[in-house]
Amino acid sequence: MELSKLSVKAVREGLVQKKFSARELVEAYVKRIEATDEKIGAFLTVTADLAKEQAKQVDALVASGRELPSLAGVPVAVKDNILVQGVNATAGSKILESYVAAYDATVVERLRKAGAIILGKTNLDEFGMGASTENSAFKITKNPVDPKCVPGGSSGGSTAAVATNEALVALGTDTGGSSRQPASFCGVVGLKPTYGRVSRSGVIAMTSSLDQVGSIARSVEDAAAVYGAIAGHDSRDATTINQPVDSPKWKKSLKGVRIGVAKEFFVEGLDPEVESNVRKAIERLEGLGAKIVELSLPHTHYSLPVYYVTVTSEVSSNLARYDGIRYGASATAGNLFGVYTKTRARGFGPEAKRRIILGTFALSAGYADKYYKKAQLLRQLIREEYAKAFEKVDCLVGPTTPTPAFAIGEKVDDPLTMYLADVLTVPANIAGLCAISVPCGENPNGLPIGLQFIGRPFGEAELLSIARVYEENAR
Amino acid sequence: MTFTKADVDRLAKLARIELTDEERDRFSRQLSAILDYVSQIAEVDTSRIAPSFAAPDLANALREDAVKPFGRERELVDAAPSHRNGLVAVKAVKEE
Repeated sequence: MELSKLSVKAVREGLVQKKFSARELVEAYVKRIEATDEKIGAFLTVTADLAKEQAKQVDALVASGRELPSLAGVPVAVKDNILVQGVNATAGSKILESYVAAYDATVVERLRKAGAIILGKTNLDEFGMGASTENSAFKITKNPVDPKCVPGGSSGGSTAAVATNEALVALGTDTGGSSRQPASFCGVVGLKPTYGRVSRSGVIAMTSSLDQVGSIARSVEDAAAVYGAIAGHDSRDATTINQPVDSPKWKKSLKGVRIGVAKEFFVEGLDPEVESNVRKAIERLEGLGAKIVELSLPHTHYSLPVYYVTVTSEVSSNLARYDGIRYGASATAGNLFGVYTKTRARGFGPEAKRRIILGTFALSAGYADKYYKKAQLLRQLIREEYAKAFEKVDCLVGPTTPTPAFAIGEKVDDPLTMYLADVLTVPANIAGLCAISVPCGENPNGLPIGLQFIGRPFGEAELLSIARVYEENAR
Repeated sequence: MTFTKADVDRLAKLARIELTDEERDRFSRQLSAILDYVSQIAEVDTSRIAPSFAAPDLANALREDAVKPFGRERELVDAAPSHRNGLVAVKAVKEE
């Protein structure tokens, strides 16, 4: 079975036409993981038994002749900050090393209902904080295209798994680019839905006003299939919107589509090969019928400092629950205060500690107005600036990341340099938009380059259809 | 504005995290650089902007005040590092 030739559609056809069974499919993927993951390090937990059990159910469904649900038999990897009942969920942190999830995240419930098969939990930067997966407390994940390089982060494990055929699709999360940036680094597709489209119930919280579950796949169509299965209102998440999830209308040309190119996306420090690939891609979009509109988003670069004030503040609040009392690691101490301070000292990695401390400052008396509140006002300004742009265009396009994948260890000692890697992805999170990264060539060393499309709020259907036209014509 | 080691220490206490000397030193340097970077948000005039929620189309998302049994209370308590008789055990909150 050629795993690299599979897709969500091919799996469905294969099962229906009895070319293979779900059991054979799972066996092939588990074998692939066994052969590959020691080198790549994408998985923290492999749920082979669970997968085989789910495969049995899918095969029974196929045998019954009944209609198959949308992701029947599709092997999926789940980022380890998303809860799968009965399975270890670490969020990449020592503080949750032994934690076993008591319930499924809503997105996992929906995957199960759609017939998807859960292969395991993947590696990530601790609590989703990072852009390289090097902040995981457990292991380094290597970029399958070049194992000396990082896969990106924080959803590095999910992305590497998809890129190297250890899973057909994966769930990641995206708070500032954590599904799009690794997709760009590994040469696959990463989608960030609009905040409010996908439930965060059962997703270990990092930044409550930004977190979203991302779909990672090798094609736009497959990413769309995963998104379609998990998106939609959830009564358990009051921040989800109560609006129907439209399916993309696939098309063949971009005639009538207005695509905006913001000059601010071509940032200082943009790798010249990334720039040239992206500009070539823009020409191709024009060739496909799109009207290219040049515009300016003068405040977009403030997205990054706004992001880091917002993230650190909300992280300091969300990580307060890890106190050695209700779950996770717990230190022995003479008194309660000691239990808290020692548990958290030992359980959190340096990036988590830094962000908690900075966030505590940004929310503290005398500083909250100047930092957190100011950031939210500036965030609103940025959102309005993007909304104005979307009056003139249907989507925006630009590079996903300023550079291709960097070497393992290269940026890990300088947090600020690592933060700057997110400069092109955070605006979509801050401005409440949807966005997708698709592969657009490689640099001379074979490192993938990503093209990012940004769509209007809740405009996933259009965004996906535009991205797919590019993808179909990019080879 | 820079973070001194004393600043870092005070914030760490608020955040209930015990730090080593080395961490105090390293974080004060790293955090000063990051704070310096994010402080640029002060440059922008936001006087005409009204504060808004992250998801402005959502207003109070309410539900009926009805209990829905969760069913896995056991698993939740079992996850606690210390528990007795179905209850989570905690050190004394107030010392004698």
